[in-house]
Amino acid sequence: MRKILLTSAVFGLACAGFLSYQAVKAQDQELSPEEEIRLVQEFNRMMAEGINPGEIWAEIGKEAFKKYNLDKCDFGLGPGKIEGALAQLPRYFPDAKKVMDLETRIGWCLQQYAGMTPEQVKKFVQQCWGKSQCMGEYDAIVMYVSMASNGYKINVNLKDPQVKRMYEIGKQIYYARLGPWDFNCATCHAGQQEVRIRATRLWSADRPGEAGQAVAIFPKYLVRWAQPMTMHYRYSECMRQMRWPTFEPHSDLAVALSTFLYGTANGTEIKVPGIGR
Amino acid sequence: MNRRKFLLLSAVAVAGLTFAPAIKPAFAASKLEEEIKKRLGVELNAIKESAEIRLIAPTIAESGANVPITVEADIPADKVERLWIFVDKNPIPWVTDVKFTPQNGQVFLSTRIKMGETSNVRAILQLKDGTFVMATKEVKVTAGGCG
Amino acid sequence: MATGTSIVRVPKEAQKGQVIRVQMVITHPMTPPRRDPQTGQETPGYFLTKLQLFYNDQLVSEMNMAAGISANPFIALPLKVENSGVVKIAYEDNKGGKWEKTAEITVK
Repeated sequence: MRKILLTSAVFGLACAGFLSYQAVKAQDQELSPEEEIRLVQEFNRMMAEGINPGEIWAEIGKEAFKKYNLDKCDFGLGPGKIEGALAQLPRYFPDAKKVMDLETRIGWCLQQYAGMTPEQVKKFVQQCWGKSQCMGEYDAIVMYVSMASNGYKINVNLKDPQVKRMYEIGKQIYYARLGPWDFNCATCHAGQQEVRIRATRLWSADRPGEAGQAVAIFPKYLVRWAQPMTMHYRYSECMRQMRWPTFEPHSDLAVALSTFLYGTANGTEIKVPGIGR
Repeated sequence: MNRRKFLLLSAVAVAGLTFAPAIKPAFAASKLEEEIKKRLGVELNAIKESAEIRLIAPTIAESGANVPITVEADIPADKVERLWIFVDKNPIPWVTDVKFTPQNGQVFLSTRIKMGETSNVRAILQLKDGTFVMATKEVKVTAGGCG
Repeated sequence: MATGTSIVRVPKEAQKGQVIRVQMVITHPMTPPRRDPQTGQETPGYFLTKLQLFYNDQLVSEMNMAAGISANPFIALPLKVENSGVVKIAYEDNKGGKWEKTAEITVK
């Protein structure tokens, strides 16, 4: 009798254990990769609701813009005119005899009108690089000027031969395998096949509209660093991750890439700041 | 007691100890339960889930640093004392509480919370009559993608 | 640099008795308290503790919080407006920091 009882007890506990294990396992059901991607996109959509903290940088930028005499700076539409300025950049500037993107032009004007040396500009640009919760004046200026183009459609003038030339150079760099790992922008951001890093689906310059969706929201507020990231900082990070040589902000390389990216993004409505991880 | 019986009893004891945690997840009160008891004065299992309060939160959060949550409730603001937000597995499960008055016009809150890992998020509405209603949503916190 | 800089957003106009949304965002690191595992030294953290929503100087809602709320937090709360007036948001943090921001609503 006792033997039967004991055996039943062991059997009963084993069953209970097995059922509990099944119950716990069921809770941790794996989502399909497509479901995961859709849910991550939903997450990003929810994050973009409300007020983007990056907008606070624009308020600081308004003051810094005046402080550094950037109301004298011609972004292509006349001195100090910033509404729609980002939308027509990069463009050729006769006074500098070069094609410049927004950040490079700001750097140029800081030298012309705020008396900064190129070294001081570089330091100013990189003030918040590698930091978090950093409220830098440069990022604030870029945010302020960029937000003034919200609602405008990107319209890089690819008919200008100088701009077209930079576009082609940028395109070459984008697709050229370089560095010790033979990486390039296209390694992650090109082609028709979907490229994924964990549950994030990466944009591709070869799929229509996607480059536009990516650049039209820069500067982008990053929650992991609690501060905005400008295009040049983004280039720097990409190149660091690709093990390319150290990136110089406001370099011709940057302008070439910006011309290719914004040129590819022609027609996309500017909506700054974006928000992401 | 002979050896066979001893071995059998030991097997039963080990089986019991191995599977017992799976059967009841925690014998001791969890940090969440303690926090709720401390701040609300009631046991968690005394609070009922109700469709009158809705918690909108993402199913997956690419980053636990900034998880958007929105709470809305059908119960009129003048019947409501306070809205509480808890995250079961955070080091401190209490995240925030909001006092509502009739001048709010309705019960609504939208904000961004931090989550250390995949966990339930709970919105608990404390009513003026001393009762509580709750909405729960599990948010999976994943390691982010690129960048 | 400029912790405590905030934006408050409300509709410029509203109907009498309408429930509007008050949206706000403020820069604040919301750093949690930490205990160094090696030295055992504790840092108290640096985070907002309270947000108060006033309408025409009357306290409407109060939100208690700590480092469980994200850095540079966004918050939205409802407000029923019967007359025109001024929305005031008052923030406090655990180191005695205090900030205020106002916005106006016209009620028809």
